[in-house]
Amino acid sequence: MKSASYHLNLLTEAEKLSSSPIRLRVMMPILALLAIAGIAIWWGTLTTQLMMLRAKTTDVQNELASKKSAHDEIVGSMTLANEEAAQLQQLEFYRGGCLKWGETFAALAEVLPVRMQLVRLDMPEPPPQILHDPKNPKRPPLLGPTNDTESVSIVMTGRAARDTTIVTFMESLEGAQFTNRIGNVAVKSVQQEPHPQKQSEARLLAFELECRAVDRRFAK
Amino acid sequence: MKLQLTKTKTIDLSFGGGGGKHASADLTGVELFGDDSRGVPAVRIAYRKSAWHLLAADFITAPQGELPLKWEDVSHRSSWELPTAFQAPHAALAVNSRQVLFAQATEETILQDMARGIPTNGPSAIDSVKKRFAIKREPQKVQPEAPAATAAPKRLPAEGVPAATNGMRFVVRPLAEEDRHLEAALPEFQVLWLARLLPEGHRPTASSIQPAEAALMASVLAQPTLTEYGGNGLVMFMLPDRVFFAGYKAGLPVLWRRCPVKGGHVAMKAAVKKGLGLDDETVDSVMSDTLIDPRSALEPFLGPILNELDLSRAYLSGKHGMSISRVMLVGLPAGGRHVASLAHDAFKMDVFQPGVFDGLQQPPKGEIAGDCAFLPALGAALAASEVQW
Repeated sequence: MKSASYHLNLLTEAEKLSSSPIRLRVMMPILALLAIAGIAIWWGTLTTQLMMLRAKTTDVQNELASKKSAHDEIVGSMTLANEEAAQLQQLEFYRGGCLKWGETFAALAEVLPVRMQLVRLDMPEPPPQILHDPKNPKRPPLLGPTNDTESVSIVMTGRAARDTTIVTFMESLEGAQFTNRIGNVAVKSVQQEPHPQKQSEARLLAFELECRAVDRRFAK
Repeated sequence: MKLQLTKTKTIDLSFGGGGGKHASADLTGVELFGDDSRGVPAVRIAYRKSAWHLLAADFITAPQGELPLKWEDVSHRSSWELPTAFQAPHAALAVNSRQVLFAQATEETILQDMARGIPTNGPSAIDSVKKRFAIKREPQKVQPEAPAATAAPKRLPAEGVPAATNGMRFVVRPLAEEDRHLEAALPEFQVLWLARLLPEGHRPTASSIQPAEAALMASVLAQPTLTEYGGNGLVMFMLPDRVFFAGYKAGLPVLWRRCPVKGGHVAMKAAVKKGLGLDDETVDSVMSDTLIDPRSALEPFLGPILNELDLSRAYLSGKHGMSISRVMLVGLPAGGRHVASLAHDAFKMDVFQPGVFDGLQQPPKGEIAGDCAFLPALGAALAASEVQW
């Protein structure tokens, strides 16, 4: 049976009332209003928090702006202090790298053979250090040194009557009083030269000795 | 509730409990403004486990107030609560009204009815039906006091969808026959008054308002005999003051006509009383007992009615090829066997009188006695359930 075919209902869907005590047509607007109110409160809270954050941000920005000059001054002072500390450190390094030759040269007179004359004592300049950064030439030059060590040598020029005298002198330089300063001694050149006063007499030997000294260590 | 999405697009929202598009399978049928002195017949039924269950049937207190007869009377806001046993989620109201219209009609006739509007000054549903099915058609009277009808609608409203025209609310269902429809109509103000008769938020609320005659037609849907014959059948409804014939084909309505011969079972009783010279008290016992045979007094009264019944049977046989072997007699409180006997003698028709609640599962706590007065209430509930079984 199809009872719907017999149902001549004069009531429209809009006129049907709910038998439920909970009336959706009442509850729905109330729930909608409550939801809207909740959302409004939520948005209000968010807006208040946002405004507070913005005000706080403005205050912090103002405070930062007011302290910027002082901060820059402090940063400049710190940079300057760092630079000066670096300079002091470099000076300390130079101080640490200082070699004292006084006692060594005083001992030279004691070991110098009788028939030998030292006419010249040279300490060649070390190779110049590269203080400019090749990758950034506009950068100010470094205060140096750029290497931890620097090799030092001494060139001794003199005259001797015999070659054995030179050898004796070289052996003397290996003595205990020179070990702290002079390491390796090598003959750079030896040549005969006439006696300045007695040309018939035996000739003198002009020599050059290159003494390799201990390296300068730039450290505290 | 309509929710407007854009200027041109809206969607319909319907919430449960408010009736909705799907009818309930637990509902109470009530016949309102009938002439039964015992009260308002109410029936509560429920469709469970593929069967209809009768939960309660009783006469209850009538609502306060009368059905308004004009717009000015609608101001009273009625509030009517049903007893606990009948507090189903929804109620189907079967309404008796002088201004109700329920008939089988062609599209043209329905459009004429829709153009006519409210029958304010007397043309009741009875007259309307009479005009349509009487042998002699009466000329239509001009109603000077009637409100001016607007232009006639050009087409019928959609099937089962109420449409308001000229102060009347119309609804149309097609019959299982070409260009034949069942039409029902009630004044708009009466529908509005009835719609708010049962208060919102309390069980039940009205989910259906039907003319009592339409509900009567649906009252036999649960009858096992109708189911047994595949939904084919012929039913004679004998009411107190009139008789209707209803034809059913494969479970669908195919015929609804009022017997042009005046009289119902009240007139039938009066005929017996007059023919046998009895008083009121003894007529009832004569109709029920077997000691006295009242057929001689009944025959002059029932003969023309049975003739019309035979005509209806012939119509169903000739037009629809239905072979009607048994005819249900519904609505007659007493004397059914005499009618059956006369029908058998005159037309070899097997007329039988089923129980009002046949086909319904009775409540386990006690069987409810059937009474013909419950038929419209039962039919209203069965039709409004819109359950297919």
